[in-house]
Amino acid sequence: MSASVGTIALAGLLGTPAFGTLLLAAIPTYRVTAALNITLCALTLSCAALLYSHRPEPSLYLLVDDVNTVFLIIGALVGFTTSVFSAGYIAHEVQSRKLRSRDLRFYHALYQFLMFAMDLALVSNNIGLMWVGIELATLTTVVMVGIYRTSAALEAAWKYFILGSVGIGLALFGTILVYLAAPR
Amino acid sequence: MTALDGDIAHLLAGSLVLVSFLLLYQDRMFALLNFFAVHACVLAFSVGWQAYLQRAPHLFITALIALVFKGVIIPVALHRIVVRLGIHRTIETVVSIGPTMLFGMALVALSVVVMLPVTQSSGVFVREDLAFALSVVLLGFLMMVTRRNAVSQVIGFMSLENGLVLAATGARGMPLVVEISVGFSVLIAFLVVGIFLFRIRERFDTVDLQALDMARGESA
Repeated sequence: MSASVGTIALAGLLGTPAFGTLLLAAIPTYRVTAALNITLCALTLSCAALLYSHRPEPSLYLLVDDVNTVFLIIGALVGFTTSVFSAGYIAHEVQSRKLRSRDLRFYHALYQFLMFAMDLALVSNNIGLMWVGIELATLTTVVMVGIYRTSAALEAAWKYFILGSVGIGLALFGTILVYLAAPR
Repeated sequence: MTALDGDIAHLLAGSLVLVSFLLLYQDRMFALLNFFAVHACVLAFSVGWQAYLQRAPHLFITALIALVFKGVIIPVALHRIVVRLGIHRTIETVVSIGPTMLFGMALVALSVVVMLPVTQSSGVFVREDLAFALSVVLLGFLMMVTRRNAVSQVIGFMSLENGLVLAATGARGMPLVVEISVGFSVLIAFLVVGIFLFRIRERFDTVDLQALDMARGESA
């Protein structure tokens, strides 16, 4: 019983932000997407909280244990509180015309995708899959850093992309060496 | 596995290092893009040969991803971007070609010296493949460091990823899901880069990255 609740919670943890990415990309009004963003983050947080008491059976690619539950809950909590803060902040940025509402649609979809990538990196039961999660999270952040399109934002985003991708490139090399050294 | 099979595998992996040097040597944008396509094709052949030797059919899919994405789609798309941005003339380098080549040779020597002793327990085959792969990775780094143009930095990054794929084929047990998602994330990375090239061009009127340094708040 507990394991099946855990499986649903794990599916919700990964499925909510993945579905949210598509949903928020499809809705043009930024007020609606900001509210939906908060709702989706709250749902993700409740799934993460459920995982604390209900553990799903470990599968080939996904694993929930004591250590990553802590980080999942902290991550989901930070994601939820930030989404509440960002809703007010973003409304101000639109009023002062620093961002267009098209940028915000993009921003909210990427916000959910970032949550998905971070959760994937945390629950993965395979260091290759973990690497993919971290890579996706880095790429999403790069795009979000450059969202203002000013020279400073572009400079920051480009340098972050180069440093981040070279770093995770080396991490992939390390991952490959671990596969090679692992006894089988 | 006969001696000839191993020799062919070494020949293909060694060719990848050679093409990396050719990439480092190019001073024209279109030639650079063409050699990048050659780099990806050599990688695809090398991975395909490994798939045949290791009797690992899933590696054929990796080879196909390398051939289609990196050998065709990315070079063609970069070609179009370069034409649209009008930056096809020459590539500005930070260090001139001669010293860069010498430095590249030093990096290959370094990767051989580092890799051969630490992988003594693995087979001969994997060891030399890894040394070649590390050389390709380091040469990709060198290219990113010595070029000022955004497009050639991206080519350096993609050739670095090719080196990683070469290393991954040596590591048995890397699941297919991972290899496919690695391929797709490289494609996403490329899309991100494409968007940024246009934005940088729009904002700075150039893709010379020194212009980005000028934008820093310190000097003002």
